[in-house]
Amino acid sequence: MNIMLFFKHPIAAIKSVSTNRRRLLGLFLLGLLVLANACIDPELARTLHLNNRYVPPIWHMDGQWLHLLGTDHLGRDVLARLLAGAKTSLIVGVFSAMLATTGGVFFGVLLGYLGGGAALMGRFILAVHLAMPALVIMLLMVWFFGDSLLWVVCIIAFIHLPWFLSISQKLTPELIAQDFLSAAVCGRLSIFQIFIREVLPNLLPVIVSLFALEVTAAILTEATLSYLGVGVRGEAASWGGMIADAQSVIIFRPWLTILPALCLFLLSISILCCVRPQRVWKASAL
Amino acid sequence: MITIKSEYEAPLLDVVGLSISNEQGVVLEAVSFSIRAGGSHGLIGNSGSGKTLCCLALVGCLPSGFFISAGDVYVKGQSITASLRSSRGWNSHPECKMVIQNAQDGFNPSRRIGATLRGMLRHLPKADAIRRVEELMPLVGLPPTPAFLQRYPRQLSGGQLQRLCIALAIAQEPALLIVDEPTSALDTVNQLDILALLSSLRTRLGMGVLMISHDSDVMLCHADNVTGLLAGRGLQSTSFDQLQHHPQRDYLFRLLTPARYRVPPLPMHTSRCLIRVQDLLAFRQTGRFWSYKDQWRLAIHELSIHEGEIVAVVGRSGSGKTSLFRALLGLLPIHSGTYHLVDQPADTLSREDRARMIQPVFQSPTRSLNPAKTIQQTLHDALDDPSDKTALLTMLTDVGGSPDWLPRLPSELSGGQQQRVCIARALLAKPKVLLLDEPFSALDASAKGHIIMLLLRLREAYGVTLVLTMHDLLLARHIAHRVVVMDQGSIVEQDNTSTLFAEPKQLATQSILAASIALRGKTAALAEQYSIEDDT
Amino acid sequence: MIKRLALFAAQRCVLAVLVVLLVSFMTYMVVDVTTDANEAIAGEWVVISHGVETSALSGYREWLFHAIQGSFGESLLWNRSVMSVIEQHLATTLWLTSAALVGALLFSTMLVMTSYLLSNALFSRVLIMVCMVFHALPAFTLGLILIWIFSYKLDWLPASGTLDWHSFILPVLALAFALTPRLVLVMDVTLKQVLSAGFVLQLRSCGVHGWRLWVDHIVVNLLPALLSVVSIQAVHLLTGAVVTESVFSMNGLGRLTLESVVSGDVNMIVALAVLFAVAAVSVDLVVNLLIFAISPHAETRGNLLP
Repeated sequence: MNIMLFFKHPIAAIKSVSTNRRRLLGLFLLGLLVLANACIDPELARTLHLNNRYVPPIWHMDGQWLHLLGTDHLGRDVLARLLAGAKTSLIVGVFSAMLATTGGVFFGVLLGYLGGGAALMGRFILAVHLAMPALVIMLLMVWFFGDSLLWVVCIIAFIHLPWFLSISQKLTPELIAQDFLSAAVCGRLSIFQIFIREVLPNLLPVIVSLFALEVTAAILTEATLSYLGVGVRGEAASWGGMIADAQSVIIFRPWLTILPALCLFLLSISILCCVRPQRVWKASAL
Repeated sequence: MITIKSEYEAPLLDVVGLSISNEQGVVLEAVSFSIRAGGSHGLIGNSGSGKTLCCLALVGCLPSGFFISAGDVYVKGQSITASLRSSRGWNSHPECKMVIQNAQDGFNPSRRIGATLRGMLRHLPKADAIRRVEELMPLVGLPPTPAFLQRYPRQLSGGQLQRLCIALAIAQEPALLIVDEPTSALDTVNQLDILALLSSLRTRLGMGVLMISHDSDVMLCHADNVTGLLAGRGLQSTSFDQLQHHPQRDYLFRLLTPARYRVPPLPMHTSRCLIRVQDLLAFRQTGRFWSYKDQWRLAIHELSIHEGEIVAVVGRSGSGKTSLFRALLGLLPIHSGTYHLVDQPADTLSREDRARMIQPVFQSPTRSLNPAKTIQQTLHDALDDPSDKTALLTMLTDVGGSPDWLPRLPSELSGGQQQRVCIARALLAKPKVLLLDEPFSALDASAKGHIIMLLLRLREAYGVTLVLTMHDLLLARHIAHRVVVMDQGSIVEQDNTSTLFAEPKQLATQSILAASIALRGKTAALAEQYSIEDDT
Repeated sequence: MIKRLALFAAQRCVLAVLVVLLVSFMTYMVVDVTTDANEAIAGEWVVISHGVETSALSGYREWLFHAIQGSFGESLLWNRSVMSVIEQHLATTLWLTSAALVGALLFSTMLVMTSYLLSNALFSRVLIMVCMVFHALPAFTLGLILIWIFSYKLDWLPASGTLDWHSFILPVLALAFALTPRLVLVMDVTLKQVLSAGFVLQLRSCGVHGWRLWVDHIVVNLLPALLSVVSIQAVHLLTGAVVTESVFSMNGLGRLTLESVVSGDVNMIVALAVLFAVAAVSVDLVVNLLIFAISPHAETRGNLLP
């Protein structure tokens, strides 16, 4: 879907999406997830049925219709927890990606435009950021700031922002050297208008693909954090946390591990489906 | 230039009915021509007519998806068609070698040129290979010193790289050399040098040369015979003497001879000075940031351009024409000196005011159009008065475009159409001066004529002053009132056209003029012989 | 040439040292801030400076002073010097990460070369799809799946511990699979870029082909981009090691990091952070020197140091 087209002719843009089966599939899965989440009462994910612990899913002999996918070690309904975990993952993924993208692109283009000493400093900061063990910093910060969703979003965005910064900073000088930008500079538009109308349309396809990748990465990071014991845990559901809880019983109750993993996988895939694979593939090589 | 050979000798290359197809059908068919040893042949045709494909087929390097569907190719009497058909993307015949279109990309950027050249001579022992490379260098007019051979491709100029590519191709002494657009990126003097080089190779080594060029002057200088390609069909080969008897001669004439154009009227004497430059110095830093050397790219003592004039800035590659172009636009920072635009110092002008005074048309129209914007968006952003809706359409029709270009992206238009859009964009801002950077270098003869007529017509209609940079002095003679000759960043001579051509004083001027005459002389003669109607 | 290489190396070394210093400073500050306000499970946390609570900056100066002499303090959790604890755990992580990196490089090279040699569009597309799929799986999920398949269902390989080389196979595989997708993607893109370059056509049309073309011309253009991405992946290796060692319960630096953060072992955290930074920076240094030696004017993409 041509993003610029979307702003001018939304109906035409939506129609163009519907012609692509892969994108439809991705959007359908996502839509299903959001819908199911809206329908389920969030209390279901938290109520304990201590009499009904470790109920297997419906396809086992002992399965119950009340708990379609079984219950976990505290008797909480797995399906409800999966959906609540989806909410967590989506919120964390989308918002931290949005933060990281806007901040990273803005500063990256600025640094790329300024060039010279500012760019060198930018690259040095990036070098420090890469050398710093991100996981350690994330663990520490989440431990300190608390495991509320807001802080997890901010911290993940902070850690991932330099990636966007470096890519935009690298792409901008190549773009600036182009003749069409020189021609625009000779025109009557102001620098800001030139940025919006000339530079951004060329950056947007890459940025959109990177955004999709980043949403996936953020979701996986959040899952890793909660698996390791930091981040969203306890009452609030998170797929990583569910996997961690279930690891000790993986032999006898593999579904408790496999189902959340499957959900992670499906969510990432459906997001990646929404953008063109070639663009994503080229962008991830940057 | 034609060497007389016995009629019974088998031709070096004989192509009979060659057809190339891909999965969608036939792309090129029925191409037939033959080249004698030491002979030269040209392939001409519109862009997209399959000239490069034909050459790639002859060396067996067709891109994937294309294949030879019919025809035969004989080299020295023996058929190589079967091996060409079954080639896996590389040339297995040492007899035919090719030089690709962009010679600057022809060398591995990560290896020294000596190493690449020696790599061609793997079959020889090392000492012999080194000696052979050193013999090759003077053959193509380059220094055989080891220091030169140690350089990387990025340290060489376009002309040198072109020669090196030719050296690479002749290293194994092929019988046939195919060159694809050898002169397109070079200035007149370099073009002449390359053509002389190819001639000398033909006489010295008895090599046959097949050349593709869109530049008719180059073709007329070099080739004995030409084969035209029209809409994917090969036409009958002909020599220039027999051109008038050719069945598709009109098409060939249009490709080879320039259209005629009227010499524009002189401006009035009391025209005011629009651009005045004095003692301008502009430079760019080179080297690392803690020790930079000042290199003056531009050192102009005095230049003034008056209203209504057509000024041609002529010079060889690297003489500073493009730097002057960018400095006048404000894209190159000026170190010292005065630059007045319409009696105001240029650095005090706001961007809007400057936009109304001077506008550029860059050299490559493909690169000067934003690939993510439609033509309508591009033109709209250039409008002087955004509320004026009709101005856009009027301008587009004025430059010879049509309204159905508007919703398209630049990649959907041809090169000539893109150039017209660039001119329209520049004129929409209603500038007083229009700067054009090498507007004719990428065009063939007929397109050149069309663009010249267009520019002259627009000048009359909109009252702009034209400043054109070019490397062809003879073309300047036809269209410019004044000529400014540049060399190494400064102006060496500037005068009215007639005076300059009557008595060129400086060496730079004389050498450029001599090269242009040598190159263009034949075209002029041909144009005299066969006059065609200009239908612009 | 040697002189330029030496100059380049010296430049990079200075930058590397600066980066490590900055990383140590920032980590120290973060640890200081986060541990000041919390109480550890094991007891009260004390900022190391021989007893008295001092300001963070002077604490950092003290720490740096001791660190340059090689002593990183005592670990609160292990009641031994930090260096001895690290030494104990170092070998496991080194084996794990280097084997995983080598494995990932081998996998990706094999996959990309197969895709090129087959020249089959379907295979290429499937390869890209599979890579994106693996990209979408986090490392720990891969590890758990491998455990479930090979340890429980098939009972071929041990699931945890570091007894002998058998127990390394699954973790190495998990980590290698986590790294491979990005390597394959970058290799594929770079290969296509180089193969479509003008000089390849020119050389092919002059008869240079096959093995000779690859060795003399193509590989030297591929290497800079590949080496750059390897240096970035090395950083991700460390993160992956933390997760993999947790999944497989291995006694490596990764799990040590996790335990230290969770229990607030201040000295250990800072020492480990510095160690990781030194490792990342030295890998990057070596890679940049290699790239410079191979082709001095190559564009280094995404390298660590500016």
